[in-house]
Amino acid sequence: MTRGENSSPIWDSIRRIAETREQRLQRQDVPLPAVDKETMLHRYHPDYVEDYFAVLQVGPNKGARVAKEIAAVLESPTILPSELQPFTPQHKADVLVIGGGGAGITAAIFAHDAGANVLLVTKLRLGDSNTIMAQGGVQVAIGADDSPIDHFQDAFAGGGKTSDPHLLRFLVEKGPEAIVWLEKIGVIFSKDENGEFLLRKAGGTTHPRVIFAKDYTGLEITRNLIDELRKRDVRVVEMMPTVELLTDEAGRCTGAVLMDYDNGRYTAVQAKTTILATGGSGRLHMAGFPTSNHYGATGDGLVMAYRAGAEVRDMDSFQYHPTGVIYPPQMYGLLVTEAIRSEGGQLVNDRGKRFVNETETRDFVAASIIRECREGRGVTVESGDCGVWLDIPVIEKVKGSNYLKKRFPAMFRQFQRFGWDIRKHPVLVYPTLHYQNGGLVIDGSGETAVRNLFAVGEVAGGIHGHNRLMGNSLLEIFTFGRHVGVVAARRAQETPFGALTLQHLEAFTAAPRWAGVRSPILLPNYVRKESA
Amino acid sequence: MVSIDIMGKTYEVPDDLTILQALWYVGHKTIRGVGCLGGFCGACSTVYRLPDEGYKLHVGLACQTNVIDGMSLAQIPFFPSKDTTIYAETVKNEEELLLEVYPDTQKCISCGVCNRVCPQNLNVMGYVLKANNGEFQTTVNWSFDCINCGLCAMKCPADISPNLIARYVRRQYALLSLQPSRLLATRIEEIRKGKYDDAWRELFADLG
Ligand SMILES: Cc1cc2nc3c(=O)[nH]c(=O)nc-3n(C[C@H](O)[C@H](O)[C@H](O)COP(=O)(O)OP(=O)(O)OC[C@H]3O[C@@H](n4cnc5c(N)ncnc54)[C@H](O)[C@@H]3O)c2cc1C
Ligand code: FES
Repeated sequence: MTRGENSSPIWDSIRRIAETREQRLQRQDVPLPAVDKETMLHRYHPDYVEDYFAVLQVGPNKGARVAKEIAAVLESPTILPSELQPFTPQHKADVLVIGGGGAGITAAIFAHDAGANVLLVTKLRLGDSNTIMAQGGVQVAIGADDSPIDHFQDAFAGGGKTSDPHLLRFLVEKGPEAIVWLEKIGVIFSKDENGEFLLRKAGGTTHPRVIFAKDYTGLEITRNLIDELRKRDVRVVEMMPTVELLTDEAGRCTGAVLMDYDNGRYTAVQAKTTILATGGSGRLHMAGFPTSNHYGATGDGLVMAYRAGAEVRDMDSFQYHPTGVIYPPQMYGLLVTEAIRSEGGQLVNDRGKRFVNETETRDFVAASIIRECREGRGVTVESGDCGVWLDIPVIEKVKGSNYLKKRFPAMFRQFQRFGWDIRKHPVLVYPTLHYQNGGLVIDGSGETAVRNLFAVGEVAGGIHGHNRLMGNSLLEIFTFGRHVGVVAARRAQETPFGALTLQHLEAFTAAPRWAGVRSPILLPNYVRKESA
Repeated sequence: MVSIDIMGKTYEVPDDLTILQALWYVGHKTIRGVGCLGGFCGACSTVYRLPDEGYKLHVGLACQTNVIDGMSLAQIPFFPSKDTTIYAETVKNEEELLLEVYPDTQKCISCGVCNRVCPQNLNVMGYVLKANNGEFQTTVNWSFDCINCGLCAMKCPADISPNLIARYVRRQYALLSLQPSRLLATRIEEIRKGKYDDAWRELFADLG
């Protein structure tokens, strides 16, 4: 079943793609455009469009250039009503973990096992996160001719040599132990008949190094982590977003304020140490881009920590995954995994022509797609969105029928549900906001500039510099999650409970320049204006 | 435009929306019943009926189901089920333990309703029966793509929670039967023994 095939401009375009498919079977290098790579990025990549950025006027990074949407949430007044103080804590914990994705759950498990009394609080249900959506896999240098050094060099080069080398070294050296642990708790990775990991190659790497669990890697890991957490005596509070951190007279972090989604009430938690694991910020829709992120990726952790005195870095650099779906419209923003291009999928413009080598780095491919649209060679749909075709059927022409369904069951299903058969029809794509490269500045033990406040996962910055390679963020959340959990538990042993104040908010009362914004955002507002 | 009924109220919405997009379109600020927006988390389970079909109850994921003209729907963001985290210590008692922690595994009447509701099109009844026979590896393979939405549990006339049985069997199987990777162990050993220490020193000297 395919949705209304008729003579609309879209279907005319799809027919053009089908007609040119045979000629394109032998994928040959597309001659590079007349401009060099740098110029191309400067002209078309959103990270270089000055209009999309603002200079921070308050807080620890005053003077830094960050995305406008980030500046708006960092500088705006809190959503907390002012009459809440003084706080009497309803909960006490040695270690408070904020965020129920891969980083938070891992840190909670290790803090508990290091002897701490742990409370994990999260905004949606436990596990509702970016982690559960990861399809591609995890990078780990286990190939016989691969090494942690190669892994380091690939990631360092990929990030434009802006990564903190010490954090990155920790990632690649301790990463393998994190994978052993995942296997030990029951994660079933895809393996060959000898019980060895199957390896895929990620864009911008020198060796095949990505391990995976079909295209449900994040799901398989998350459900095992949740079960491991539930086996332990860790208190879990769901559907209760954290809205501010609490600090004492010396500016140390002493806990947090939560809001109960069911009754709107606020609750204070007193904790000796606090671990922020609130993930990324795609749902702020930087520069109006669609996003692949889960519903709760609204950058709350950045906001709360920044107000408490933590610095951010690289918040003018986001990863735009080149192939987010524009059409069919029900899948707007969702990802078509990079593996599709590795396996031979082609990017084709409205005229049926390829315009970029599909296995270039993500930033370059994204810029090339944006260029096609700006210069009128893209396809514009009813909503006004423009995109180019990702020709998926061409893969089966080369690799045989049924290949797609076998290798990409999750993706095949996603499209099939909307009557779109990716064996027959191409998909319209445009870059989608995928990953927050930067984040909170942390030291080697994951601590921010605010004492007793740790950050782990996508909310933290420094490991990937300006650009993360596929598979390194999953490795990060488990490797650092384990480490930070233990460090925070040890620190808690030598730390008394502190006073619960919001004095750090006083610096953020200046006249707001972002009309109507209050933060943290907690959830995006997609309610249609006319219906509200 | 199509006409749909959301928990008792009728609205006109564009025909190319998912159920979740339709909820936003008519003004719902969704908090529960939404998670990943990509068909991975199972937070958005929804039940609906279609006109002229009488008794038939359909289920689907709100983020993955297109609106249909005349549909009448309600979201089921939470389905209470009995959960366990107890696992067997040996291969011998794993089957016994399954029946102890999930005695319902034996109550399957082979009606196949679960297969009809599964948004992932899994052979749910098949893997429950396999689990019952102790064929854990088959259950692992057949249930691997489960997103734990719980729709099967909601429809099962024998009150079985197939999703939980599957998770239990996958975990149990992995904990007792998986062979850890040799390549991985070798690499960790190399790192511990300092095979790369010189290379690191050089590399960091270059970085300054
Ligand atoms: C579609 C998709 C595919 C991906 N594929 C890959 C891949 O193949 N390989 C790879 O390495 N990486 C991949 N990534 C990136 C990777 O999944 C994430 O970077 C990583 O999982 C982040 O983990 P985290 O625990 O830091 O954040 P998350 O997993 O997002 O968890 C953050 C948690 O914090 C909660 N939270 C947020 N705000 C608050 C608040 N105010 N109070 C309380 N809780 C809050 C959230 O609800 C969530 O539970 C992918 C990302 C996406 C979106
Ligand atoms: S919101 Fe996650 S499956 Fe629908």
